[in-house]
Amino acid sequence: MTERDRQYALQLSDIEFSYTEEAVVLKGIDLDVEAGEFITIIGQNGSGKSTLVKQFNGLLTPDRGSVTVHGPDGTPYATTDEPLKRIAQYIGYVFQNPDDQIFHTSVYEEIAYGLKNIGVPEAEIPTRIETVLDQVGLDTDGGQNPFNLGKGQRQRLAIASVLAMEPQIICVDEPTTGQDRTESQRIMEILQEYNERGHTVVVITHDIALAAEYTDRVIVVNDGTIAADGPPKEIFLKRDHLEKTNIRPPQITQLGIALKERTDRQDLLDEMWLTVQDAFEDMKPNERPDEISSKSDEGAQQTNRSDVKASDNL
Amino acid sequence: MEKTTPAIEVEGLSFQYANQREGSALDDVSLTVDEGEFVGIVGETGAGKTTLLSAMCGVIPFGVNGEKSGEVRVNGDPIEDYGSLYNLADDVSMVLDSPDNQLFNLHVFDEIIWGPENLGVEREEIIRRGERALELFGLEGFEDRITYNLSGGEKQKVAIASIYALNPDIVLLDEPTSQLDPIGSEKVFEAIDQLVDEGVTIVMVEHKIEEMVQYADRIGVMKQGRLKRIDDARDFFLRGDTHGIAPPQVTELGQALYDAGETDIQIPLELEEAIDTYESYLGTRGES
Repeated sequence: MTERDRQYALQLSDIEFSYTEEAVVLKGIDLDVEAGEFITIIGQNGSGKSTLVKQFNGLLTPDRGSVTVHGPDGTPYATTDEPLKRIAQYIGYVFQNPDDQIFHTSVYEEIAYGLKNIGVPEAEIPTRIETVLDQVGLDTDGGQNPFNLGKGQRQRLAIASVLAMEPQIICVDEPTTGQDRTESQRIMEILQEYNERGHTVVVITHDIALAAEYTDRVIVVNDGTIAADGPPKEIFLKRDHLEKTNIRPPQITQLGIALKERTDRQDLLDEMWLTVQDAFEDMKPNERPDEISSKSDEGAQQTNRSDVKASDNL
Repeated sequence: MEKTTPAIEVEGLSFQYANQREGSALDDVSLTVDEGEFVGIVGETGAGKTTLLSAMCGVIPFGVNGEKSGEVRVNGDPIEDYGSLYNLADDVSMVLDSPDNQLFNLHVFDEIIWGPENLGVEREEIIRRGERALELFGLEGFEDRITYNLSGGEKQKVAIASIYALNPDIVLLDEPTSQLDPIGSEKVFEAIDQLVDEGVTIVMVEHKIEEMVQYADRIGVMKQGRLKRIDDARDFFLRGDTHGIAPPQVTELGQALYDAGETDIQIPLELEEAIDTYESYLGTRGES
């Protein structure tokens, strides 16, 4: 793809930002996000992750540098020049703490608010709300008061109210806080569905296993700069880097790396494990090297591989 | 053998919030937590985990309205006998799910010592506890930082440190590491482990299964207001129904291999034992 063909969703150039005079939080960040990417941003507490994402939609404006949001037709909008309302049409942001976002007394009104704001026809609103509640698995009649919901449920409501607006770019700060693993995976699957439909998705998370499983680009923020940027497999190889930035690969990845060091089955552990499924494919009985070497028919092996899924067995 | 009074006894507890339309937040929950024990509670969103903690720390019945049946006893006494949250605060402390709801002092050190100050602890002792809390939770140098400017994870550490400074018998924690990076949450688990060493009883709602199996004595799972099962932390994932709770990744791998016919495999729960297990698994299988 040539530079000319590349469709950007977001472009940040030399962003510097501080809340107070005592500390610079973002120290000259350059970042291009292409349309249709699914990205996770990781980094230790206080590294500047949330501050960075709040620059995307003009919630915070940089002290130096520029942020450009591209509309669906490619038109660039600088967050400093455009009214927030216009930017909000293209980019949705889900806060880390749902209580910073939720302010209506019913689930229905909470979601309807954003829809009305962007001019969704009145008649269409009930269907959209029903669909999105179903999508996020929030089992509630719309009349429920959000503050009677558990924190994890409020989190999903916050996500639902942004998804309902169908923004071109979806940014979610810690969507899996308060959710167990199964629920977290469900949320990532929802975001994946939106991504597959063409939405650009940016997720901030501490859950490295989810980053590895669902996204193709991981951005490591450290001390207000981008310390690493690439596919999960590349990021997890940079051991010194990870240690410095308090990042730890998923447990299953750590297992694979340790085994690779301690055994001579290099052939078996050739590809880095990002998921339990990856590990199972390498370790399962009919994939063991002694048996592989005795098999000549590659095709038969391929068939076996797709037969068994680790998750089906659990 | 001398039998000590359990720290917390929950007996046939049901609760429905006053404004709740249908169902019960808690439905016939019974649970005994021994002194010095670390019990972890897991379960999906809305299962009643936070409500259970609320009933153990006195927010139910003293703080919220609703219909309660069954009984909660703290150190042997029915929770109603304490009469108020203030009286319970000597024995039980709770770390809330969102530190923003808990922190309200401008400076970190003031936040940490606010609790003991309020309980009328002597000044010298207050400072001693405050400094110990800073040390234990890796907050040295944070004394004069503005609490509102801290990151989510830092706030959470301050919230836990301020509970520690109260010197409580029982500490209830509601997802204390949910906003922390991996190293930060490990530090919190280590600190909680130290509280356990000092004889503090811990009940913790948490989703981080990998740490839970490592640190907790028992794990209980809640679903739709009921405590479906409580078991030894190791047995929880190795035997019996987990009620939809995903095991640690290394355990999931072991179970998948077991189901695929590798019935000799010793299914591991923690990373270190997993490395040993799978190394020897590869070793026995590697020779052709």
